[in-house]
Amino acid sequence: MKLSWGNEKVELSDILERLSDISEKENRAVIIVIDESQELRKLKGYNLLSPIAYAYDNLSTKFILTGSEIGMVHKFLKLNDPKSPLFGRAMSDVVVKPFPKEVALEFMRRGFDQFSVKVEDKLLEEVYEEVGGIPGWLTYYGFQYIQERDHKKALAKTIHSGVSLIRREFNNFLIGREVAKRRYYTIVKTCKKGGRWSDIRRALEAQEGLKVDDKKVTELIQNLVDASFLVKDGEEYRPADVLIGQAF
Amino acid sequence: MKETDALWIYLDLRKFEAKGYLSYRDIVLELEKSLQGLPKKIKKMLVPIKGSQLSRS
Repeated sequence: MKLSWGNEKVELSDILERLSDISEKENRAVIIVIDESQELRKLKGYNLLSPIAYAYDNLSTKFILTGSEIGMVHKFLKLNDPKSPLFGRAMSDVVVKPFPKEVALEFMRRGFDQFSVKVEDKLLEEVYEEVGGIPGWLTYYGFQYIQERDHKKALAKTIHSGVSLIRREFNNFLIGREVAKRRYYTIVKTCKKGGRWSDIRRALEAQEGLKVDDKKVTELIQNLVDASFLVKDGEEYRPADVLIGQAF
Repeated sequence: MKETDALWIYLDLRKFEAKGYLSYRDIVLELEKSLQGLPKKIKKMLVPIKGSQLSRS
């Protein structure tokens, strides 16, 4: 099947309408999943929110938008912006948080059970301390351990891969934000062990030798929170997971 | 409507992570790729849409 984007270009609302007709005729739900949907913020010259809003209001097609940067997904959808086509529409959020310690340990134990491998709890605890509770990295450690049968090597490989991936994602985050690159690095480094808003402003001003506008400080921090590099924990901002702290 | 027997259309935008911007063409091509996975009968039902055609293969 070919779709044209040229002169006789296909309209996404036509496709959604036809899919909705098919859904009703065939008595089968049509579910459109957009993975890493925060990338849609970069779409130029076309407002995808309009066909999505049309489908939401009139059609039976359903949407699932997933993303590792949930704040950016919200920024794209603009549900709270009265000028947005999707303003006020209801949606459900499913937030998958890193596992807490006990769940992470049990997750690893059960994974190793499937291979009839026994790994000491103190080693699993070390994995949790170094890697955190993101299931993908715990699984990666488990896979490496099964390959190597060596805790230190498996842990080192997991940390190396995790840190490399985070640095690559951070570089992607900086695309289009190159002017503020130094500032973003200063913020994540200041928050490595936790930092308050005032600590961040002080660090930026020390680096630049100039007063930095309060609104700008807040905006830069919020961008990092939206991109899931930082989380707000009480009065402090911290790395969203252990490996992010190790990457900077 | 049966959700267990749903038609899933999956757009994977990970490959755009390192790109500075996306165009309408990028989205249409990604959608085209994901529609290939639908049953032939469903694809035939989509074809009357302006700007679409069924591949010969």
